[in-house]
Amino acid sequence: MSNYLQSLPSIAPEIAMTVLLCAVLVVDLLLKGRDSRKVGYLTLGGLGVVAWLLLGQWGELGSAGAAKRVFGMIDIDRFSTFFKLFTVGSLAAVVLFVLLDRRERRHGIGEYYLLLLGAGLGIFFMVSTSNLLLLMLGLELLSLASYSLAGFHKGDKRSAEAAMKYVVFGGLSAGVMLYGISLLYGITGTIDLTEMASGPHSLAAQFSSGPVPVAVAIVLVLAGFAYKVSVVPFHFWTPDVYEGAPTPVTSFLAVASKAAGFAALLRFVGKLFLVDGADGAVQQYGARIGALLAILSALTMTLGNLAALRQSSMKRMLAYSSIAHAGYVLMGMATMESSGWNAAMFYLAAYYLMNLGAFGFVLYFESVTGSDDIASLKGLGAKALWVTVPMVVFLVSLTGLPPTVGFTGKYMLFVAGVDNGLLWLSLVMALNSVVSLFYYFRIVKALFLAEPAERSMPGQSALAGSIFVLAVLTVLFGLYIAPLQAWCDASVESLRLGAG
Amino acid sequence: MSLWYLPGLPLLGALACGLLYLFSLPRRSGGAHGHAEHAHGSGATDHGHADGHGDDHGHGAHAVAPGASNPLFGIFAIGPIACALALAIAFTTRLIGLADGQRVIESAPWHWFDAGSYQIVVSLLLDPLSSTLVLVITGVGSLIFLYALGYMAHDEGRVKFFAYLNLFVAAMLTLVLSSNLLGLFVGWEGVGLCSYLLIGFWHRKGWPAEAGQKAFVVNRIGDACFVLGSFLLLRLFGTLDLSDIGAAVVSVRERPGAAFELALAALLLFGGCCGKSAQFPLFTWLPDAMAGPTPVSALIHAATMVTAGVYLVARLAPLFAASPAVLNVIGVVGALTALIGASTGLVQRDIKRVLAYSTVSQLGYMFIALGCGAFTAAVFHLVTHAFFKALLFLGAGSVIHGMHEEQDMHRMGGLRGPMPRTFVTFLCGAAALSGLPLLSGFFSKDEILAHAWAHGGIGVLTWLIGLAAAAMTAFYTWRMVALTFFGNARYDERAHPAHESPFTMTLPLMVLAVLAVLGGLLGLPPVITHALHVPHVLGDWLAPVFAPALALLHPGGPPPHLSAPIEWALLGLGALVALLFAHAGFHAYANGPELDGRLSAARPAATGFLGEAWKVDASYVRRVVQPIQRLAHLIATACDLGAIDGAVNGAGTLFTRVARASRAWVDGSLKSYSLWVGAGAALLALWWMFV
Repeated sequence: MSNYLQSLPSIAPEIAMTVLLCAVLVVDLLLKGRDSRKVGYLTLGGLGVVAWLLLGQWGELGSAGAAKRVFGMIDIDRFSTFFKLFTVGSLAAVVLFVLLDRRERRHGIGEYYLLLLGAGLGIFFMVSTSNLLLLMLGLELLSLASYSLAGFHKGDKRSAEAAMKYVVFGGLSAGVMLYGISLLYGITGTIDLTEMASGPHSLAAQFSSGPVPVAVAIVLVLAGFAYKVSVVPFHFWTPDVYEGAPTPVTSFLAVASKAAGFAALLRFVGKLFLVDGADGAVQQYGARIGALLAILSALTMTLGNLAALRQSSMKRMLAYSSIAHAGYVLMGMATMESSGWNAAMFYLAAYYLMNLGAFGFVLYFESVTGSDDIASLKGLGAKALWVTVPMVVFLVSLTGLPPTVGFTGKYMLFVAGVDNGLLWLSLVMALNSVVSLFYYFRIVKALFLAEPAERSMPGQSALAGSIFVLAVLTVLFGLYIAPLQAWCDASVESLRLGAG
Repeated sequence: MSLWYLPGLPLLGALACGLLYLFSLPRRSGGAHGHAEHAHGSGATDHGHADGHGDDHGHGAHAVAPGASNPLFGIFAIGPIACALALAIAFTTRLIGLADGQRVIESAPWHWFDAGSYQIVVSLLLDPLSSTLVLVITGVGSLIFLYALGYMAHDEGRVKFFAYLNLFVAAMLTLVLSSNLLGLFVGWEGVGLCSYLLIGFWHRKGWPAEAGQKAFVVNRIGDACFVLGSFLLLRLFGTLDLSDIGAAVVSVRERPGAAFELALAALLLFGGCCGKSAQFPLFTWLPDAMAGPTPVSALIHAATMVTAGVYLVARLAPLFAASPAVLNVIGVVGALTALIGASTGLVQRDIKRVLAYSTVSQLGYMFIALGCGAFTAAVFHLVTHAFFKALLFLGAGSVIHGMHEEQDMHRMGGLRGPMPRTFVTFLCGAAALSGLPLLSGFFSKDEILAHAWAHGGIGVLTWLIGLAAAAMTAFYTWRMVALTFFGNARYDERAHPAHESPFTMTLPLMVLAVLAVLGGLLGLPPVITHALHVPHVLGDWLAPVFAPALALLHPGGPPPHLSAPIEWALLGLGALVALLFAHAGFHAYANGPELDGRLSAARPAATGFLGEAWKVDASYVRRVVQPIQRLAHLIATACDLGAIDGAVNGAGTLFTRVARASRAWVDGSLKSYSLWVGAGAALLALWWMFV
């Protein structure tokens, strides 16, 4: 019992999150659904507290050997804290987006925040466990909240369709993944990744004796993750759901949910394969996974970019672009080396900044023009420079041009690929970046190169301000990369230490 | 108080002015400032400085200057540099308080980024050399800022102007304070950018924009050399830290084959200096740079930025001292530039072009000094030149202002009556520039020539050329004075009466005039210091900085001083030449510019040759620009339109077709999606097992 109590401070952020969730529920009930903005402010404040706790935790984890496992299944290390911090940041941004969405109702949407917090709590557990059962629970908590969020506008047909597709597809993928997990349990007799990676019954040992069941199990689990991070060919739900869901929810799905999927994937692969001083069998086995990821990466980035070329809806285009970006991150993972993983982490951080900003921009213009069509942006570039110039920054960053964080991330991925024998994949990525330039700059073209439109722009200074801040960060971390790089390195390092 | 405040304050000023300007732009046609500017250009409220304007001098009423009415504007504009000056004085006082050999203040280092194993750490460093430069930049800069407030009082873009000017000061201070060649390069490029922006400040007139482009492109050549030189230094020394490079020169030179690479690196860096400091063959941009507002010419293109090359050579003195051949090249280039500049100044009609060519030739003097290892003399001339040339430019600006944008000296004359304060201060500057005895220019020029003489060998040649250039300098300076302030008025006195400039403009003139007259006290020649038992102030101050370089240059101990009689003779000769040619120049033109007409009639080829600066520019156009244009045209039509555009368009069409095809898979039905998931998982598992 005392051990139990001693462990509690380690999960203070999770506890705070839960308390916040309950508080939001109670306050919303007390308000009887009137003026849901108050609930939103409460959520923002609570997220601030969680962020403060997480920052404190990050600092404590700085000393060697501070990473620990509590309750036998939750890993408290810098890797998980890194993702939790970014999750809190993007949750805060999404809550802001909801608050500032001019088309959203002002009353009776308290459960919006409740669902967002629930999804966030799911992410918290998902990114910090190497216990496959808890991982699955976190994933499902995230998924269930996401399904309801996608269908939040019940009256909207597209929103309802998006939710429906998401549920069915999510259920299918969860089933596939659970089947894989059960196979893994059958093969190794444990659901803990660390135990799976070591010992006489380790997965590597099983692999050398009988590769077929191991391969099937791993591929099935990977398919589950691939669904969450929309990797080809498990990506089909992405454009439909992203388009149909309310824009703040889309930004949550595209940013926080996808990054959480990557976090879990990184931990899964890292614990099993990225082991220091591994013997020949494990290395061969890791190389196999690397090759698999490389193929998926090439497929994902190429198909994502090609499909994005002809989209007329910005949300659909960003959906395909997010698929392509998943391919870029996979490329860093496919190196199966620390440098590549660092680059992948860095790219995820970059991905947070630039995509949140891009979706903020979509929200801004959607509330003015009533549509997310690229054509409806025509000639509006000069009307709201505080938003359109940041958008150009995000697009430059998404394309991977300097001086933005997207360039730095892609550059690191490229170098990691070349250094680790994935030259072909690096070239595929470079070509893909050229292709992506084409569709990203269609937005710029519509904004600035068309005849100026006669349309008044209502001022939305708070939203414009938050977009501007994201743009500043995008450029800042593109020029001054040392701190972000150090955080990523520390996170990956903690993952390796935990695996040893 | 950290050193970072020095460049930081003007940077904040630049930001404040820039934001003030952006926020107060008129919000026409939706508030895009690009549109607003066009609206200004085409509208009736055309620019106050457009050619041919000048009926109403009080033309402040019709042009609205965005942001200038804000009460904070004055503080944003002048405040930062005034604070920076106070800080610079405080730091220098602290520096003086330190022991002789340890006069260094270093700021906290800033870890910029890592490139592989190489860490870029930038810090700021204040030693006697950089403190001298910082004082000149902030001191002369403050005066010019004050002057510009009056000079630009009627310009609608004056808030933007001060944003650029503040940015320039920030970059210039970064340049001279940085302890690292990369940080120095940041400042180097920063001042280049500001120079470009400010030369083209009145870009709606057309030719200032072209002049700005020319300055930028010509400087690119020098900057490319600079970067290559830096890379070579990085390869040789493994660091870009300036003091580390200076300390390691001796050990690096011992390595086999390194002497050549050292010389090459020094030569490449000097190439950068040629661009920035307008030395032959890259000086052609500086006369055109006079298209900018006159305060810019004074601050950037006379007093500070163009001396960056001199500073760089002085800062890396040990590197250059290790390759005497490069020093000789520098000396010869400097002498040639001094000669070209001075001779071209003889026949110019535009008052600012006279001063521009004069700047070219005075910079040549500084490089003559560097070439014979007289680093102190170069810095001394840099300082005095900053005083008197800023004074002359500001005086010329005052004349131009009072004459309603007239720059042609043939259409001036007799201005000593209407503009007494400008006249007296201009006389002080002219006397200093022409090297009349006991003024600042006399002492600094004499010190350079004495060192050139003492250097022997190629130094004697540079001494001779320097003396000839000094004669021409005296001549054209007093020609300029005579044409501007004496003789009869050659303009319509009743329609456009000339008037004295406001106090904000004449006050800086007076302060600078005092400095130009007394600046020579910083470095009296040895014969006088011995006789009067006073120190060579600047020499003693800078001695610890240049000691390692001089030890490298003269391994057998310092060279003997010139004997007193020879030195007196050189001083006397310099004074005699200056007085003689000043007298000749003044009297030839005291009654009007008729001599110019007679000369160009009698010797059209020679005056044309001189007037166009030895036709250097024309030969560039013929030998470099036109061939490149032809090549570019060939590439544009054959390679770009044919091959590259064809390939790109082809690829675009291909991708579009593929994309159209791939859209067919996404039909929105859950059944087909699920099929893909199953098939995908199965394919991956199969690949895993069998490939």
